[in-house]
Amino acid sequence: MPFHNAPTNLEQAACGFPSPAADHTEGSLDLVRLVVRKPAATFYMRVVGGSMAGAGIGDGDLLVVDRSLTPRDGDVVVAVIGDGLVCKRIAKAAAGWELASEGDGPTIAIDPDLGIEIWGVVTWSFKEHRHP
Amino acid sequence: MKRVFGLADGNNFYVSCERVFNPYYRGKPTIILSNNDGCAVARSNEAKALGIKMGEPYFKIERQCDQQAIEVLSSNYALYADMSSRMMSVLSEYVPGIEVYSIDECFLDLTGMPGDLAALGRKVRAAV
Repeated sequence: MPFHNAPTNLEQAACGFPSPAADHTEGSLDLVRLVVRKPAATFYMRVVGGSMAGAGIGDGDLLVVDRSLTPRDGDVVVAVIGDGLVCKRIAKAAAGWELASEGDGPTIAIDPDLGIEIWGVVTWSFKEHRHP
Repeated sequence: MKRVFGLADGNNFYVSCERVFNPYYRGKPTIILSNNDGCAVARSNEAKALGIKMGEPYFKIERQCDQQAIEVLSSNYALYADMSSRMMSVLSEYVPGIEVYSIDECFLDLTGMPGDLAALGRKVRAAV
């Protein structure tokens, strides 16, 4: 067996009774490994405002944004609109791609010439339910 | 065997990092100052076109920045280091042999890489 495949959970106390569970241990859940598929392209962002409440994203939530993904119809994305970064849902319309709000906000056509473009795709959002 | 090397170099790297997170600075002449806001250490193309020189002390160009609406930022080295390691990690996905030379420069060993090297370069640039 190659050395790097050796189990890391070797029983140290060889003179005692070895734990029968030792062969069955597994790594515990690591949230970062679960939500970050591409570390070099993944960024976290804090939400300000409630315009995406319809998508379950509220003020103060934490977004996980992957900039390496190609957006698909219906994705929640972070977009550049003018001077700022905003969270919107992307939709494919007859005329091209559009950014839609979840509330009453306007629908905006994506047009890099007007400074409107996709910044990254939101893959996860985190909401704190028990505030300190 | 003939060895082939490439050099990856971030354009106006500190300014580019700031522009990723703050689109306000896109298209505007922007400079980044060194520690304690001493000298201009990064200049956007727009700021270069206005004649701001590399390493110029801020007290000498303060009036010009006011008059020509040049955006002036203090440096955020934690951000640049984070973006640098992301860039190097993307480079190493495409080219196995890399030698990080500075925060925004990296040599790429392209010896024996299959296919058109210019196309590879364009692909790497798009990914970064």
